Amino acid sequence: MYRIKNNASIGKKASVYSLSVIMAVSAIVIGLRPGVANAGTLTQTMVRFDRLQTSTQTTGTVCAKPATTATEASVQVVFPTGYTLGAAGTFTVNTTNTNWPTGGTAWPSIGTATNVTTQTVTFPSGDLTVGTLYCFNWASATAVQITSSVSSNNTGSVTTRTSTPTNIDTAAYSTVSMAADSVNVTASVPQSFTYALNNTSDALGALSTGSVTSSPSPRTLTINTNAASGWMVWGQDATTGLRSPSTSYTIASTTPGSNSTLSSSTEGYNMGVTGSQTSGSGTVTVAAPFVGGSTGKGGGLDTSLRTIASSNGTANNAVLTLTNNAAISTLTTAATDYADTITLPAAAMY
Amino acid sequence: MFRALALGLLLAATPASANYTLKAYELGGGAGSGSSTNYGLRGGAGGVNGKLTSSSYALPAGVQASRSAPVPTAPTFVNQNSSYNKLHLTLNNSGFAADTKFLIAISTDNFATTNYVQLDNTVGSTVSVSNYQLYTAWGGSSGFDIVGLSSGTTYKVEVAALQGSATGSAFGPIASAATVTPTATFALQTSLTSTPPFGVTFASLPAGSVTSGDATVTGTVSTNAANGGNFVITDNNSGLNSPTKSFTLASATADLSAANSGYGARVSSTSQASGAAMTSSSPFNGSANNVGGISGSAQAFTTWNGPVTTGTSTLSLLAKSSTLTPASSDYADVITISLSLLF
Repeated sequence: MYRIKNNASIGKKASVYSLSVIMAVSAIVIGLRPGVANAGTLTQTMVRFDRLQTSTQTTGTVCAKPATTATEASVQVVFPTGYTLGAAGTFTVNTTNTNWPTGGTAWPSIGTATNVTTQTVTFPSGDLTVGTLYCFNWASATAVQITSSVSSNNTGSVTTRTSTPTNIDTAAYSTVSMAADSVNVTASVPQSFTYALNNTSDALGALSTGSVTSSPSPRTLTINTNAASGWMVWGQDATTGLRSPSTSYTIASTTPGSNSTLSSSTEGYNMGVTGSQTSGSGTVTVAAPFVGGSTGKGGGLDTSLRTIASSNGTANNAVLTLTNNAAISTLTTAATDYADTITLPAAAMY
Repeated sequence: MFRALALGLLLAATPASANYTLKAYELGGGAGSGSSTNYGLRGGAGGVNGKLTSSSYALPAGVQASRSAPVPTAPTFVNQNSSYNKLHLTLNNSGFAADTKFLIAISTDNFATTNYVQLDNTVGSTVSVSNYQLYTAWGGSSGFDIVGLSSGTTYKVEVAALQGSATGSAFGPIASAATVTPTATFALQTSLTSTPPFGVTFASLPAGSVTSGDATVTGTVSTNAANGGNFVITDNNSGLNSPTKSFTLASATADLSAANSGYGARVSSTSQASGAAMTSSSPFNGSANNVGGISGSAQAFTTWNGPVTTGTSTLSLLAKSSTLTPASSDYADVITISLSLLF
């Protein structure tokens, strides 16, 4: 500690203090060295490379928050050593918010780079406001290619400048280059196909010459499948008609392979089909010979597998409604054991 | 008469104490030298030739004020957290009166160029009496951060004092500290491998079942970015795409338990060895089968708000197919994970 004791008289004391005041002022002036205005430091800085993988071209984002009041005219971004830069014209920019940091605001009057020298890229800029975080993206991946070597702490900088140009604010950033920045995801979706008949019998009851008899409860065939190319259902029957073993008589299927509509008092037998689907990429199509939808309308079955219906895509709850129709004439042999067995195979096309 | 006699008596002996001796009362006229363990004076008490220093004080060259504030001792100047833009300064006010104010000069070139710590703790060329602040205003015994510094730079500081009506002191001894450069390390790995290529496989996605990939993906970051950062995810297909079926099992933010189908990611865990807390971000911060949709647009899935050491975030991928998802074995996607650091 350094203190001056004042042992002098009142009069002396007064003169000493007078001198002290004078010297205090001069000491402050002498003690303070003249300052030199330096470039400031950006309050926040970010340079995000959308790709970090070595030797990969990338787009990216530049953000900066000015700290010094001045009129910005350009911003220089120094990319890390080893990063390959395109010509100035490749540094096209936009101000789409691509997950910018909180508070990120479109960089005013940012434009395509005007100069690339070594690792320094100069972009034109509008005036910035202190305390606002400004961001822009360089939009073309051809502008920047990550260095070919794996490394951490790859440093660069962002500097705002006046039109002179003199530096206003600057700050450094750091990034990395890595062997792989991506993950390959693979998956398999197994084949799925379900098929269900809601009943395996269809009793038509007593046939009459007075009308065409149809299934009292048409059977349904339901298909679910993820077969991208769809599915097909075929049909055949065992006896090409309704056959009575006891009388050895058959009410023949009506013109298998073509669509028909039965009439009362005219012997005939066929199956009409309608289709529907809850959802799926496919469209259900009933084969022309078997298109039903009205009484007696359908196609005859025989022992050949004939396409009943098909779809060209996936199916969720695709339903085929099967209506068997029969008509007899006065010459049809009476019997109670007329029967037929219809087989309906199906398959999916993956 | 009395006053004259008293003055004569007082001037008859040189003033002294246990700590100093003044050779004469004349300001600027003292000859010879005086010293103690704490100080030394050479020449007249008002006219020092050459800068004098000791371990506890310094005097500038030139005329010395008769009542200067004590010269501060060296402050404590350190880089507390491997910072790239700030350094921590703690003044030493031992022996100073409570109303003493301090001025802090700072330089990167050994004071060939001098700046001053401003009242907002930044560095600037502005200097006036108002740049003097009380010890408490400079953070007291806790100190404060000088901010807005350049990275990778050694700074030197020295402190001057001003107290009461006394003259401002000379600057005291220099203390130095250095900022570091910004740092960033980032590693990616899966639970199956720490070296690329990285892959996650859904061996089978049966309709209606939520399935997890066979591996999780973990990103690990260490950085001194003062404002933190985030992990960013994008993908190529906005879902799992089957080229042969021309179909995409779309990615979407959803609870896959309830959704008919979907694909997405969820942060299953975060941790950090030290520093800022790693926090999962919406929509990737769900639990169970709640996933965030992935797309070509960058989305943060984990954030942190300051420097962090060994910060990790582990990502789980989940998918579910429906009865209408075309069967195929070539569903694929490429997820890219990037790093966004706000220095």
